[in-house]
Amino acid sequence: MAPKGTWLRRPCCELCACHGRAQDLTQKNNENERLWARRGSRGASLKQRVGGTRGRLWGATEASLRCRGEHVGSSNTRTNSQIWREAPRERVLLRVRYEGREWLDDYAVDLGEDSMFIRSDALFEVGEELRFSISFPGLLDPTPVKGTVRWRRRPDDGVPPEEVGVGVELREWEPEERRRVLALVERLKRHRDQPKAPGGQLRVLLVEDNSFVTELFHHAVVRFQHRFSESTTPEVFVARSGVEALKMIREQPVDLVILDHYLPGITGCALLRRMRQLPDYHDTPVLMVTVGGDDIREEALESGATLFMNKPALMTQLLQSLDAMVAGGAR
Amino acid sequence: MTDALHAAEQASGLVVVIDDSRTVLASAEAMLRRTGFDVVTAADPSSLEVERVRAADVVFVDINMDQVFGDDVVSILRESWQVACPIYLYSTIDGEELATRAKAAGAAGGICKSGGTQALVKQALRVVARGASS
Repeated sequence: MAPKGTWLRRPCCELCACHGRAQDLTQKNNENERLWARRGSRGASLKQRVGGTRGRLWGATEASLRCRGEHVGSSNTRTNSQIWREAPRERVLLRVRYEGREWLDDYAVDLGEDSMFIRSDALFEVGEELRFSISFPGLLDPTPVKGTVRWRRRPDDGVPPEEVGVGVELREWEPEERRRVLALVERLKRHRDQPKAPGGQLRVLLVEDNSFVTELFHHAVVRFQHRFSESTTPEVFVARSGVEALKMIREQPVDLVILDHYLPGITGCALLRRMRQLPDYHDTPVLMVTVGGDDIREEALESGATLFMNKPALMTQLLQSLDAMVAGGAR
Repeated sequence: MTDALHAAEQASGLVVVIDDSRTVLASAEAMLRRTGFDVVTAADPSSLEVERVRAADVVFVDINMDQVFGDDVVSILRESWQVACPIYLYSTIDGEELATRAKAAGAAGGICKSGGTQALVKQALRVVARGASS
C-alpha cells in the first residue's frame, strides 16, 4: 500500500475497488491531474499540519484521486462530482465577498487546500468563474481568490438552508495567502477539537472594564447560546480587572473567555499568559477584543489567544468568532 | 430648516446624543438646547443612565465610535434597555448604506453627518411634533 500523499500510477492498487475507474474519471480533468501531480509528496505534511490526527484529505482534487493511496472502496459507482462533494474538509467560517457584487455577503464553511464550500443563495452556475475575497475579522484581511463552481446545491434539492451553496475549486491562490489561511484554520481547529457542548449551558467569563462593552459581549453570548438551545441561558461571569478574572477562573471553571487587553492592573495579555499556565485552561477558547492594532494582536496570539478582534467589533463578527471557536462553524 | 427652527422656539422634550467626538456633542447640545430641548450627551454609552435614556423622546447614535459600533448600541438600547422612543443612527457614511445599517440595527432611520448638527435638530423636531399630534 502506498503511503499517503504518494501519487501512484495505474493500476492504483489491488486493494482498491475502483479498478482504475476513479483514475479515468479524474483524467478527464487535466487541471486536477496537474494539481495532484504538483502537490505530490507535500500532501502528507499539509494533512499533518492542518488535518491533524484525523488524517483528513484536502479538497476536491485529492478526494477525487483518493483511490490511489487511500482505497476508497466503492468509488466506482460515484461520479467525480459526487466524490468531490463528499470530500471531508475543515469547517471554518470565512466571510466571502464577490468582486463586483459587494452587496452579496456569503460565508465559506468547509475549506480544503484547493476547494471550499460557500454557503450562498446566489444562482451560480456549474463552471462559472468566481472572483472573491475571503476574510475573518481580526485575523485575516480580505484575501483575493479565484475559483470555478464545480457543483451546487439549491433549496429545491431538499437540503437545509445552511447546505445551500456551491462547491468551488480554487485557482491561482498565492502560496503566502494560502499559508495565512491554513494557519488560521489550524488555530481554529486546535481549540474547536476540545470537548464542548453547545447545546448545554455555556459558562463564559467576560473580562472588560467598560460596562456597555460588557453588555454587548453578554448579549452576543446569549444570542450564541440561543442558536443551539432557545431555552438555555449561558452562565456569564464578569471581571473588571485581570486580577479579579484570575481569582474567578480558579474558583469557577469556564468554557470560554472574552477579554480586553487594556484593563486596570495587569493587561489582558499578561492575564492570558497566566491563565494558559493553569492546567484547566491550556486550551480554553479565548477571544481577545481590544484596541491596539497589530502590535497587540501579535502579543495576544503569542500569549495564547484563540482569536483576536479589533475594537469596535460588530455583534455579527463576535457571533462569527464564537461560532468558529466553540461550534466549529456550525449554524 | 429655518421654518422648522422658528416654529420650534417652544420645543420641549429630551434628546439623547451618543458620539465619541466631544466637539460634535458640544455642538449638538448647544443647538438642541437653543431650540428648547433638554439634552443628555455621552461620549461613551457606558456613562448613560438607563432610566434617563428610557425617558428620552429621541436618541441619536453615532456609528463609528471607539468601543462599540452604533449599530450594536441601538440593538442593546432596544432589547436590553427597553428604550421605546425613535433611535437614529448618524454617520458620515453615504445615505444608502446608512439606511441599510439603520434598518438592520432596528433604528428608525439614518441621518448623514454632512447635514451638520442642524439635521439632528430638524429630526428631533419632527419626532416631537409627530408625538404631539398622535
